[in-house]
Amino acid sequence: MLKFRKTVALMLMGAALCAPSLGSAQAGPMVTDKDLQVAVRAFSFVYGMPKGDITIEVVYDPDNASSQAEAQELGKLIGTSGGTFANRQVKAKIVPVAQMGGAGDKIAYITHGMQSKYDVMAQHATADKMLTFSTDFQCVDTQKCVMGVEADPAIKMEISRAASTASGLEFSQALKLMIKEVE
Amino acid sequence: MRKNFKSLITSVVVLTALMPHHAQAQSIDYSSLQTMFGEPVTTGATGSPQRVSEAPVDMQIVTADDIRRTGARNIPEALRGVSGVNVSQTGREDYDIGIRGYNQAYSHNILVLVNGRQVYLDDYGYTNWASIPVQLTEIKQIEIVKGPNTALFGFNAADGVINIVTYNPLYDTVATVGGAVGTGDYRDAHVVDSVKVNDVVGVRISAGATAAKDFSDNVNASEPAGVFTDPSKQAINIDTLFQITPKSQFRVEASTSQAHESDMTAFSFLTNDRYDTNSVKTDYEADTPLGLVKATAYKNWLDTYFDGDIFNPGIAANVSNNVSVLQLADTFKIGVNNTFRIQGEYRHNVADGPVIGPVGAALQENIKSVSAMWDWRINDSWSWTNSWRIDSLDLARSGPLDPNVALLMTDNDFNRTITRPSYNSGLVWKATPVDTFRLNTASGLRMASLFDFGARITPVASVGPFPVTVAGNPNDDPTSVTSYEVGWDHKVKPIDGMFKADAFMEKTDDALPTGGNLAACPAALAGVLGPGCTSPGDAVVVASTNIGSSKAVGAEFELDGKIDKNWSWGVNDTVEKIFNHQENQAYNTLEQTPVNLTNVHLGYQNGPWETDAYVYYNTPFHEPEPTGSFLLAPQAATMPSHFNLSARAGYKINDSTTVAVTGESLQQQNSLTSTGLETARQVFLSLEHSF
Repeated sequence: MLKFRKTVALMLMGAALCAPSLGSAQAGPMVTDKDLQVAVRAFSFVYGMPKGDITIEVVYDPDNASSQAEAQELGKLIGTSGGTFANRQVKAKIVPVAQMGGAGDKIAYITHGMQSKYDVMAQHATADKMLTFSTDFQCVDTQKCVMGVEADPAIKMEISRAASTASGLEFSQALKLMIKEVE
Repeated sequence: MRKNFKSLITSVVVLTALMPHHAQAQSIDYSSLQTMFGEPVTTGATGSPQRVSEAPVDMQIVTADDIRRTGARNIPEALRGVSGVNVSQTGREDYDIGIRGYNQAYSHNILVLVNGRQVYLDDYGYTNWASIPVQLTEIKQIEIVKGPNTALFGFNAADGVINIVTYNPLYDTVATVGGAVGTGDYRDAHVVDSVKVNDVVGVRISAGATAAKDFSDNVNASEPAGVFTDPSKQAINIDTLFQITPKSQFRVEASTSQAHESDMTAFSFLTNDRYDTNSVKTDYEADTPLGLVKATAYKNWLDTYFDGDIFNPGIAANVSNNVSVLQLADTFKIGVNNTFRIQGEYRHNVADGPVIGPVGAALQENIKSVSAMWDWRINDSWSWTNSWRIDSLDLARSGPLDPNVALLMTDNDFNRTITRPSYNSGLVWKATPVDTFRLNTASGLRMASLFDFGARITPVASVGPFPVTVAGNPNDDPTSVTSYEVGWDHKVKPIDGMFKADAFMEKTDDALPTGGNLAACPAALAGVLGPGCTSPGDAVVVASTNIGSSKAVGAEFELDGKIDKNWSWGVNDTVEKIFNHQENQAYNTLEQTPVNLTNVHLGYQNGPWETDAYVYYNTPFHEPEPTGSFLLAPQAATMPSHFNLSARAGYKINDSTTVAVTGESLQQQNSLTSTGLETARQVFLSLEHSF
């Protein structure tokens, strides 16, 4: 009987601790330090991606205020002179979508709210063989961005096969076996 | 040593430097994947790399940090706190481990691996933990799969799998030297060093030695004191990984170990034993258009020497056992939602020596297996994984039979093929980002050991003028285990912790404990041994036999968390009830499962200090009382409820050096935890230096 009570008590304790978090929603900035850490680590699972310092173009839609604001926010997060993420030195370059890829950079973060510019962005990415990533998973689901990342509440990663192929990118099998891919 | 070691591999380095290499992706770097996902990554559930939270089995991971914080001096002590894992200690270095019950001397239902290489010993069908040739500081994680997983790993993964994963020599740099002294003349020393060249070759080498006096107090008054071998062990392990191309790797591991100890055998005898093991393993893994292809070949050499048990010194029970394994697997996706893995395996297993028969006798198994796994990601929330495997074993024997064994069988009786299927199926529902539910069913197999099939130990004793012989039984059937399970994992954000609950039911058929039953005896002994004595010969023969079936029903609960940055804590509880139907053996060997196992951990870390305390508690259970006779069925001895207190206090003198004091069984000087030697309180002082 004592064992039964102990068992029930453990179950209730667990259930009580669980209750408040069920249905909780994510809040806060659209891209976080943790998101960036995960993304930078993921870059090392792309064949041919150079090691060492990287420059990320932060791409925004000049016609969308929230997109611009997110770009500025990410610029601050990385810092004007760059920052260290996942043991790599990262620099940010905030660019409007029309100027994307012009400087030969190979990685671009795509801000939220760029649905109307997805096609333009994807054309640039394809032409310049860029790895585009975002915390906006709609961009990946519509085959426009290569990779979607999210660190909270649990690490989530998604890769678009079509966008990867268009940019000539190949991810390692080990990574692809562990994440969601979209055609 | 480091300098010498570097010079030894110079030629390898020069050759490797000439290989084509450039900045490249980390194709198969599970360490980086683990860092990225913020949780352990394993291939131990389905063969495909997975985050442990997504594995379709009940799996737990003991990390390197966990091992360090327990203060454990060996692998079994590091596993004591895992829910559902029952660790029994019958001597200072003699441990037996069961998962979800059925633990016993020479525990045989758990398949133990090091980086996928079997360290389970096929000769007697169990794991000798002291002979595993790795140092604790080179272990990255220990993966514990609860329940059958024969569909992935083959025979003997019947109640669970323990896969010891070491650091990857190409991606993880480990360089540490350390040692400890302790009560009971305990002392150990170990060194692990890593060398990496141009990101294309990584080498890790380790060596260690341990010695101590065995526990001196013995619960069995009939066993004279001072006859037990003091335990000692030595091991060397070399692990080398070559990045052949950006998409392919070749890994070579070689090891040697020697362990001396007193063991509690399956016959409930304490014996003095020596185990010599050697192994070589190669893996080739490539990221190809056809998928992740892996080819593995390894060979284990084992020599087991029995110095004789304390009642029957001079028994010739030595055995040599060589195992050769070839595996070829391909893991690939079809579309974006279906992952498949196909594998073929061939295993050749041969044993000879006095325990198999007179000079010239040998017993061998050839096992061919095919398996397939299909992981279907139904949608973002649901996935369903199914694995199937068929193993086909050809048993054969050659050479002369012992005349007493020949009363029961001929070599032709060994010409037998056993073919059995096994499966795993797991449905996973990620209900919310923090809630995962699992529904599993699995069927696993435990093959009779080479000893069970073809032993010959004679004479072990005598009844009047008649010698007693222990014999194997080629007609033993594999033990099958079928399990059903439901589980819930919940991340508990407010305490930065995890709640896990699992309920399970396991059914075991054709249970096969190592040991024996009376199989033949001369009619003249009918009045002594029973009415079954009708054999024409003049010998008494005890032979291995399937003994019946059993059901286990149980549940596991686990909660851990953190308080601020400094405190960590955890509690887990396993409740299990066994229902047996045993036909052929007087002593019920299936009863050795405590109804309740509870583990509690409290840890504190602040600056250079790291302190942890662990309490392990079990309710009473039965064990066989040693009788000193192969003929007398052991009587059940009741082991009382027991709690074990262990603790560690570590202090970082600087960034690279840590000193620690560890205590095991601190609650009292001697504890009755098994029918082996009483467990003594132990205190260790250790020093670990990274360089």
